[in-house]
Amino acid sequence: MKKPLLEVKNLSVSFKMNADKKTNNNLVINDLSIKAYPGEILTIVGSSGSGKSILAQAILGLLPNNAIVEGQIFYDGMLIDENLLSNLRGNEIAFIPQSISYLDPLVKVGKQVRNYSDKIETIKKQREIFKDYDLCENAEKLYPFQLSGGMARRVLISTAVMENPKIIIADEPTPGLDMESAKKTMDYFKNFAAEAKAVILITHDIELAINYSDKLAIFYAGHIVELTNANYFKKGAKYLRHPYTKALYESLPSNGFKPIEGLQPETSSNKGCAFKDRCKYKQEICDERVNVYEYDDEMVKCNYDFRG
Amino acid sequence: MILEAKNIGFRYKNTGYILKNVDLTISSGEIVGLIAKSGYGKTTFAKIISGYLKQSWGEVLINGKDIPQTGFHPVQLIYQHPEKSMNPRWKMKKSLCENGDLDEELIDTLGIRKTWLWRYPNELSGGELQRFAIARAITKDTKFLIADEITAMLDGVTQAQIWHSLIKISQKNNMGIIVITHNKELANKICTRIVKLNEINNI
Amino acid sequence: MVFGTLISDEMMAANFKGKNQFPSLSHPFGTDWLGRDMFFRTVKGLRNSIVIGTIASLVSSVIAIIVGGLAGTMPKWVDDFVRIAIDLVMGIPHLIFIILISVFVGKGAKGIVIGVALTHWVSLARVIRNEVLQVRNEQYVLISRRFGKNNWYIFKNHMVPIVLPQYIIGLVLMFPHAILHEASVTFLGFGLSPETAAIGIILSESMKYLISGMWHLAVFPGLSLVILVLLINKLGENLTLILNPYLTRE
Repeated sequence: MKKPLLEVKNLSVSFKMNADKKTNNNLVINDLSIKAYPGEILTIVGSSGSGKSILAQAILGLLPNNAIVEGQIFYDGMLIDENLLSNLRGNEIAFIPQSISYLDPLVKVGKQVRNYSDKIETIKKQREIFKDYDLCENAEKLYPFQLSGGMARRVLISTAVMENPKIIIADEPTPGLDMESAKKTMDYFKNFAAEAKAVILITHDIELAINYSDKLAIFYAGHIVELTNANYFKKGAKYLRHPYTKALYESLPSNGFKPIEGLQPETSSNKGCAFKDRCKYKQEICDERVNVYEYDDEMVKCNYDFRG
Repeated sequence: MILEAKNIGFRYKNTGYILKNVDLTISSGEIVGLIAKSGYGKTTFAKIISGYLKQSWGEVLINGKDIPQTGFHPVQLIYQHPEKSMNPRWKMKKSLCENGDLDEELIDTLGIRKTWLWRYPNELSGGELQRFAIARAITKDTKFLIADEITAMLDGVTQAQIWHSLIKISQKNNMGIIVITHNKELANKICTRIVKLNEINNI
Repeated sequence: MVFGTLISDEMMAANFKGKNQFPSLSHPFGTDWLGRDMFFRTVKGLRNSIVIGTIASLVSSVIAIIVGGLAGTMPKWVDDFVRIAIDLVMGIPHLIFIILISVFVGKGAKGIVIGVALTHWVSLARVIRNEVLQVRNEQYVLISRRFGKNNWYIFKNHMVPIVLPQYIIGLVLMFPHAILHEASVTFLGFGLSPETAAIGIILSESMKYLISGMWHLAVFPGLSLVILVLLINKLGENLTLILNPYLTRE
């Protein structure tokens, strides 16, 4: 049995908001558990604005101050606390953010990729990495705003791999890129997995996820409602266990382009199933509670298992 | 009603041509897909026919006549990123009603919840904001809609919902739509006709 | 905010008591050579300064908003004109300019108000102009134009809500300058006439008596002026903090 490189256990994240003079807590991630293994690409798929980026921030310890966090995160079996996290971040655990707004607009990219170091070996390493990612020599002298979309992506990837991380977390890796550039980006991630790194991708683009992942975790209203093997998506809807996963599958233009009614609930609730208001298989029991069925590498949070 | 882009050419002062001799015609009731790779001028073209940018050469005509640059522009552009399309200081109801009173049916069709009307843009997700951006732009004077990658950042279910609504609206209002996307399957599913920008652009 | 109430108390006291003549009995600030109670004189003097400061600041801020607004919404040549004007006026030392205007227009309150108003609009105008220009290029404003909205609509509905917090803060922070300038100019003899109770007058007259040891004639009025100015500054800072969430655009 492989050991997970990263394990998230019972993570809950909510935000203190002072809306309308009452303090309302907005529960965004609800009792979430997930494991990432070396050599695998795990993709967390969910609708835009559903809070999946919050998951990346929670793992990396980058949540804003008004976040209330519960649960535990383990790196290679060790429980992660503040100290360990700040050591791991940027070294063993690397983050590829969605946009270059994470970079300092006033500093040339080469210097930022090197983390401001001027040591000869570091510069050499940065230049090698740039070559690996088809970035020309001059690229290091450019400022972030001068980079094209594709170049920006590769610079962000270069920054992440400088310290030879074991885990790579990427948030929306291919926003608005065309087919070719997106494919190239995803090939880089495939290479990471081949190097026995654990790769966690977070995206709303399910077609991308299907074609490049090993495992898919479907994120809905703060919960992971299904964890499955990407191959099942290629085989068809009946291999998918959760009604929402099926709906996602059938909504794709190539699979029928069928929408379901309704919208995601605004705050994650603890009573019953989060999907109950939109589920065509809903029973009374779904108002009260929801079961979790766990298999080897798969999981579904539903009172029924709809595969087959 | 017929929208014609005739012999459109565009360049900035010091650059080469981005668009040259581009011709495109669309009639009301058509849903025309415009496929192009990023950065190849599709957004420039979209901005020209919706009045945001002035072409260097060529004409944009509706039923053979120039489009007046003042007043409500009959060709409305919907951007990919709705976050910047709303004044952050306005509640959603104000943004939505910028062009006139609430159209209940339109809001329903696009799946906009009443409770959202009292929120600020930063409290809503991309999918929710996009619905507002579309609803706001559709009035009785909107003859053509240009959708520039409007669902590229949205998940499958939201994308399907929004497009089903838009197709319904386009039929009811006899409104033509130009769908700019790099997603060929999406274009095949919703468009009555598909045009490739690199085939009509003579740079 | 506690300080804010203190200011209004002071002003109220000035309006309320200042109309008296100044009897000489037990006096917190002492009395002057005519037996006038220094406390009342100081309070009345401050009230005058506040009134003048307020009028001058308001007029100045209106100039600023018009100038900044025009520069941001009108064609380029208006903006160029405004920028040159700003650079010009910025280079002129305020005190000298105010004195010149005072002399030109005739001494007294009118002169000071005009002088202060004409010099202090500059930095606020620049801030407003920058905000307006920035908003002008926002996606939602460009979209508004395609909906057929005209310049006035855009100014009133899109720009004002974003510019307003800056305007209020700028206005509040302008006060202390106006007041200090009024006091200085009056002190130098170019402002309000000697009979009116003005801080500047009080201070300048007290100069003569300092040597004879009547320190209370200068210290209390001077200190009061300083405290008033500091309080207003503090008010401005607090306002900035409160309005800060509205200053950021996200």
